[in-house]
Amino acid sequence: MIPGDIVYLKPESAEEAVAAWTLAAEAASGAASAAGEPSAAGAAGPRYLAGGTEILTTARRSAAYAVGALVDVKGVPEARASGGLPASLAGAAWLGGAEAAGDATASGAATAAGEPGAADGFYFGAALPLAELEDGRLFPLLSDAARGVADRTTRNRLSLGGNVAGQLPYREAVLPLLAAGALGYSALPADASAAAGSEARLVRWDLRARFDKRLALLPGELLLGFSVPKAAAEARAAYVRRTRTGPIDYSLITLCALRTRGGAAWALGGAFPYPARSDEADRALSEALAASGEARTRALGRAAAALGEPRSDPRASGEYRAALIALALETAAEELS
Amino acid sequence: MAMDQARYLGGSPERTDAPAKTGGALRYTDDRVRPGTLHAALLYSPYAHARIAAVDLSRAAAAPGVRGAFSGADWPDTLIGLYMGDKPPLARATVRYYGEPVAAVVADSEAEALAAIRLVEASFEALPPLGSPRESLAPGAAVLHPELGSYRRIPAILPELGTNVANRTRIRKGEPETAFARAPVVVSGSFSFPPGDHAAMEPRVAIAEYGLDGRLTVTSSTQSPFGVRTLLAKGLGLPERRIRVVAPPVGGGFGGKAGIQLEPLACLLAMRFPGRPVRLANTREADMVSSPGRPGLESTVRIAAERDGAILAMDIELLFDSGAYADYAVNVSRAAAVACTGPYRVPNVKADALCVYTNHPFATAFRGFGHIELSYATERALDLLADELGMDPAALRERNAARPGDTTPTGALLDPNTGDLPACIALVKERLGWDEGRRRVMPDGKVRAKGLACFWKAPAIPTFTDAGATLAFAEDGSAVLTTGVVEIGQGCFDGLRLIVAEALRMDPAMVRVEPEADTDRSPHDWTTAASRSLFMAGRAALGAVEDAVAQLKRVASAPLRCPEEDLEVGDGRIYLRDDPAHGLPISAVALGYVYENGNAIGGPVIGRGRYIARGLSGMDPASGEGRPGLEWTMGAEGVELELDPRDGGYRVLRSACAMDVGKVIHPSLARGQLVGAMAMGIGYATREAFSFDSRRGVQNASLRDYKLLRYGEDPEYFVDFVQTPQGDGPYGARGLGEQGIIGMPGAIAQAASLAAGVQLCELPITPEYLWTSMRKERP
Repeated sequence: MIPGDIVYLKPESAEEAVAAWTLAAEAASGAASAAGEPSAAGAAGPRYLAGGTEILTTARRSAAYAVGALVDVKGVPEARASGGLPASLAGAAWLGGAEAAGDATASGAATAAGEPGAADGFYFGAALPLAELEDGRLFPLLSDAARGVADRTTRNRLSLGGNVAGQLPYREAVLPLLAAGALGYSALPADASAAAGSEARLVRWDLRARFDKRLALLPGELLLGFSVPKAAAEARAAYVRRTRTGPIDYSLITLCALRTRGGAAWALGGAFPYPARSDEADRALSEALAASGEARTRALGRAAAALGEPRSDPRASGEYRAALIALALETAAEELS
Repeated sequence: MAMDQARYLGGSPERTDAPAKTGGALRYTDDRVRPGTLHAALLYSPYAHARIAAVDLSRAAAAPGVRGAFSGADWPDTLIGLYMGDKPPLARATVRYYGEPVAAVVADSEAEALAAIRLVEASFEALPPLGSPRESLAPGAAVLHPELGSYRRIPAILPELGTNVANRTRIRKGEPETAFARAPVVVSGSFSFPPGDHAAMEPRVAIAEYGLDGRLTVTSSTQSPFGVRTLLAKGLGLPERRIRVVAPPVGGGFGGKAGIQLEPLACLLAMRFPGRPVRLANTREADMVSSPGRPGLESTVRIAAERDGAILAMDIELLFDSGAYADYAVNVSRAAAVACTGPYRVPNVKADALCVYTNHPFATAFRGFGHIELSYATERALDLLADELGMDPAALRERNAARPGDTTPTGALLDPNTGDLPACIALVKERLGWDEGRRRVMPDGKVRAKGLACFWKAPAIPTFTDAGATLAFAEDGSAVLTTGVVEIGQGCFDGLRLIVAEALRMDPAMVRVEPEADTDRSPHDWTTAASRSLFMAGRAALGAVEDAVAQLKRVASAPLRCPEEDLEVGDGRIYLRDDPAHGLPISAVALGYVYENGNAIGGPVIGRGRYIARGLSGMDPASGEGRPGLEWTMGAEGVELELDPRDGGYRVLRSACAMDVGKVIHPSLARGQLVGAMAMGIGYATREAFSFDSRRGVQNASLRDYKLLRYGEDPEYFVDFVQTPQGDGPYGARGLGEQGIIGMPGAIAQAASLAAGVQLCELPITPEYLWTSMRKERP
């Protein structure tokens, strides 16, 4: 049981959700200043709720993880859509303006058609359960990554957004999205300068540009979903996951890789306290694919080195993880060739 | 009655509790919370070893809904224990393990209790923790129980004052020194593993009420209602007549609920609030760490043998990591000493089994009761011997298998009731295709290997262990059996039902077994543990049937106008043996017989049966000599696994167990016990163990991190029964609930060692452990 007074809100649109969050946050900070306490971020403030597994388990264990209001986003249409891009998001502005749009092109997030944000990709709503991603095979690498997490019963609750933006170090569902150069979509509280009556701004952004060890969402930002270019979704893929014991366990290493026009892109989870990728690592893997024998092995070594030395923790030593990474890269190189 | 004429024994009717259990309708202890129940919440120590500097309860006591807040100071003299009273209900002065309860609040609701416990301010001064038996035994080690000498205990437990030895059991059989001196071959090895948890499906809960009539009633997820009654009487200083313990069905016990756990503290809290029930329930995390688990082990084994493999002597040291308190573990180590050699002919034995205090979460009974530990150590040592001799490990075990006429480590003679171990070994070998080869490299580079181990266990029970049973009838002629056995998932009731049905020659559908035990109403029963419930309650049930049948015949002989000895009972009737048409239905007799004119004779038939362990004796403190084991169940088991040598990853493909059980009463229940035991053994050997940080705090005290074997990962299971009758068992049956787990770690370690090319000496056997061991071995 989690003791406390919790308000539950069920909005029916992205605007309502952001408005609910804003109201609840104001109420919480008002109450906090009335009580003379500093209103720390998240202190008995609102939380967006999808599957709720992280909220429940963390709140159970730690009194410091306060839950004041839960804004249930499972009724927000954009958060449950999959397949084609929802019409409401077609006009989403670039977060950070034209600059960000330019960056997106540069980082390779552009679609095969060369236009950032073109709607020829596949969209996955943030409130979709991992079990649905597992079963639908629009983007097979994402389905594989989803299936690796926890067990089926839990995957019926775990959400894409919760997994990507959560606090645990694994966040395996983000790996295929990083490899594919996905775009993210979210709703932000409206600016003071926004037109009267509008409660939220819908924005799009390049995932790789906003992801440095974690996806840093702004306060009140509601993650709506991700789109992946069709070419990436249909590209040759490799997926390797290793655990400490059996298949139902946290990951020691999870490798997701995709063939790209320039070679390959990949991302690695479990080896560090965060999902990791880099352009240098992608380049090295691409070189490996173009090579064979000793040269391939050396290039694969550079790819691993580009991400750094894996950690040691109670689940496994860094040395063992490094060996698993080397084996996984070998397998990936074979499967992508 | 000859075995092959059995009508109902050997059948597998569906379990009577299956629909309720699988349909979620069964009411366990925590499903019976009455309105008005107060809820308790506990504060647990974050330190494995520390002085308690202060416990400030004032803010908690003032919180909404709180009826009281308590610390160890509230009960300054109370000590609880099974064989030795060494544990305060709430820590006093020092905390000795990570998760030890330090404070309690009682409130009107669970939410209020949980909110209030967070307001308790406890401060500690950390002390260096002792993290293994050898650390605890090292000269100069801190003495965790300085008051060891003053603890109340039973005479069979021999603690060593001024040390961390809670109990030492010595076995000295024959002349081991001489045997080692002249032996042509001697091998030796050290083997170890950390403590772990039972991980039963149901976390523990106790609901206690101190009635206004001065009687204490406890409803608890316990395997031992009568044991709890006795221990509460001792610990709280109340007579047994003022204590009642109710035992609803339990969601898995595995020994973790066989002693006394939450009941004492629940009772002490209830006594502060007369007339109100107080509920104390574990979260999963508390159930794993704060309530007891299973011990860890450090051991050294030496074996002396002839060149042909005949064992001459064994020298065994078993150090049980019992954690902070003695609980059951002082008897676990003793039981391990009793069986220390494994099921082999060993004429000379020197063994010391020590139960050692450490700052780990403390240990209680666990399926196998010390036998997994001893078996792991001796089976691994036998594998070293097999290696040394270049002998097939199964052949080595066949060569030395114990047979009737041999003696156990305590010098007890194995009587004609002893099972046929060579037959069991042969069956396991066949199931695994042993003679086709034990190690094979597959085309994809993976390595398949097989391992086999033997096991035995006699119940480790007091010499006066008993069971009682009563049999009564309803108007429809159906019979109901009442015992003190608790349903913990093993389905003992359905076995007892078949025994009663067989003895009464009555359709099992007309026989019911009372599913709950209540010390106010049930016949006395020692404890549902030690794989003896079917054996002893079965014998008592047979006695109750015999008694009831005599009463039925006595009453029926009057209206039937015949001698009692001419009557037979069967098929729901009492009838003349030589003229079956002439008789009466049981329903016309069991509640009294009424003549046509209204006169009535007889009265309710109440069959009474009882059984007490036969011929058991205590052990000599110096040599261990004695007969503590009631009946020995022996068997063999083995596995085939497939290893990927590149990363150490592996899978158990096949797991086979053959056990000599005397007589199979209910085949699918029996198979269920063996398969479940094998599965639990695979978990034990491959992943189920605590990991500790540098301060001996538990790092994996939740099911996110403490992994169990799952469906989908399990191997193909094979179960075979050998039936050498147990003369004094019900219909020749002997106990079988635990034994299937005992040899699994040894068998898996043998197979994994063979696959990897290196002898493994630790558990759990994880892929990383294999990978590291293989790398060390490579030149």
